[in-house]
Amino acid sequence: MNRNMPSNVSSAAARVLASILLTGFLALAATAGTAAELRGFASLGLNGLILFQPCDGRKVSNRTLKVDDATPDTALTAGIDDVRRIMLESGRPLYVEFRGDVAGIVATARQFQRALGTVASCESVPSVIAAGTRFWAAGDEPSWRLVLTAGDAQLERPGQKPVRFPAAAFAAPVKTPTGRVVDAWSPQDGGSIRLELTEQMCSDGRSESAYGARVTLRYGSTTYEGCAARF
Amino acid sequence: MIDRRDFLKIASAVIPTWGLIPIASAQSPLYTGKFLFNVHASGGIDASSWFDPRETDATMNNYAAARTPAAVAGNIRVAPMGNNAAFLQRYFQNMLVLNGVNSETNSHDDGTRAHATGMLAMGYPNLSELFAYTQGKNVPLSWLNAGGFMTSAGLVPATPMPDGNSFRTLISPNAQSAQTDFIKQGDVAKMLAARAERVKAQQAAGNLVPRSQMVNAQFDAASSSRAMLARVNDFLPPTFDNAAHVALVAAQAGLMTTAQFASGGFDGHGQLANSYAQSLPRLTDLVDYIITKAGELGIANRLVVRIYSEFGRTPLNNGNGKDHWPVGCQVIMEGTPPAWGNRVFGASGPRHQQLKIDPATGAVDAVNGKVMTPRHVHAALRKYLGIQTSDPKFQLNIPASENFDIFNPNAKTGYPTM
Repeated sequence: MNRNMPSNVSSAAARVLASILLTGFLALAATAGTAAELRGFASLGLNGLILFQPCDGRKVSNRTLKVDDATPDTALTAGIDDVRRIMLESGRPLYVEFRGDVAGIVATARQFQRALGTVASCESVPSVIAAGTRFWAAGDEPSWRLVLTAGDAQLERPGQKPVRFPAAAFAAPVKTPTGRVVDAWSPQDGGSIRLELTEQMCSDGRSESAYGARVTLRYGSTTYEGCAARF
Repeated sequence: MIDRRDFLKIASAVIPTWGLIPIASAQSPLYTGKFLFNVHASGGIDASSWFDPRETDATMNNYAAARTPAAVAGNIRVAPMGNNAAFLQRYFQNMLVLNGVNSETNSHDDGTRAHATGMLAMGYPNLSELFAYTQGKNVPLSWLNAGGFMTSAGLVPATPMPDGNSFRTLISPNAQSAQTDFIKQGDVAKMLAARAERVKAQQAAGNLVPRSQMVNAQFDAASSSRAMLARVNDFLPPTFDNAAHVALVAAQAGLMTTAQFASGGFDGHGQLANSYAQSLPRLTDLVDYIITKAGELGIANRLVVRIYSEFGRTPLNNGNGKDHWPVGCQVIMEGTPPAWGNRVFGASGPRHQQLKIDPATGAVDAVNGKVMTPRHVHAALRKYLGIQTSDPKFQLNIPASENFDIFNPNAKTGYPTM
């Protein structure tokens, strides 16, 4: 501060500067948040407070947002708790992905997608879910994965030929009180699937991961259980 | 020059204060019993990448998919990964493998505590702490800790493992290096003698105020402790290889009873074979170093090593990794082949399902057998190491019918599912 400047002028200038900075910060936060897809690191504060530092590309942003968990059955909070209970270095911030809105310094989580205890930095997020993926669910024993991109949906199982389904089948699911049901038939590869999705925290309790929806998939005579991270 | 004040500063950083108090007499006996090295394979080591291999089910391991058989030596098998085979070949007669141990948790924190203390509940002493307390609470570096669970139950605090330079400074504050002193050793001796005479004269005068008496007593204790630590000079090498070397020299000098290490990299949720290609050799190299160096120092016959982890792991997942699974394995070794070596006690199913074991014979017994857990292993270890405690707070409360006789050379399970 200029020591020759009268104090009333300097304090007025400081208020203007602070106002500009605050406006800029809020505008930046709001701009970043309206992207709807939020990913970054969550830390737990007192009384259930969740603090969130978004990933800005490959780095963690300097901004810290307060998360209002408006997901069904507070799935985001449940997912964070579930992963933190078993993860290595359980005191460090936890990587999470969710859909939501940002207003000011508050991010309202609408849909929990996933929390990964094995991710330590923005650049080390596994690339199993490609950008633009519209639906992604997977499970183990037996291993399976169902991925929907702009093109079509594909059911993948190790050692077996992928089965393709038209994306249109996923466009108009039957809504249920807790989720949705999709029936699809594969004209190219034959066979049909029934996918039942329930929007609730889903975890196997052993992979240091939690997801936003539970999925049951029936294909032929086999039933596959798993979780969804995009839905 | 490092004077008494500086020495006490260093000592307080490396040796807990209690370490100075009980050894007011330099005549305190040096520790000559067995010493225990606990090695925590941090992250949850996969049993089928270790001493409970599965070689035909491709969903369990990449080596099984490639039809690579397990390595075998004596009665023990190990996964053909890292340097496992060479490690087994060298030490199979020194080792007891415990398979099918159920951690009763998938949590890293809980598993670490359960395998360190024997109990999932909090407040129980680490095996290292109990060992240090019962075997050597009067030696200054009784429990050296270089990793793993170190929360004290209030018996003995852990001493953070000093590096070679800190250790040398602690032992010989006058040493500038292995060859050079800050000041001539003869002058130091004269100065110490003068100080001792002055203290003696002050005490003889009998007119010290209580505070001065206390300071003199602390000085005497610190001097005695110094004298004890100085015995390490007889064993100090020109350089230290690593933290295990420091611990072994402290053990050789009789100033340590137990040391604890962590060797990480076993939380292989994705591409497990790749990460284990690094972490397995790191673990086997550490244990190989401990046993080999103990032999070179002439103390291998006093060495007990326990290698354990938080839990085991599942079959391969979607990402070619493995997730947490309560059933795992651990290894107990000695520096020279014990009567109970070359054995496998306990077993798990084809996909590491829990099996029940006859505690007396080690045979699989689905009807009358019992599930082996960390507290059973700890009960057997406490008995074998002679560190049972009568303190009701620390009892493991194992019913007589669940005393697993793991150190009985005639009790064995082998690999019934292979």
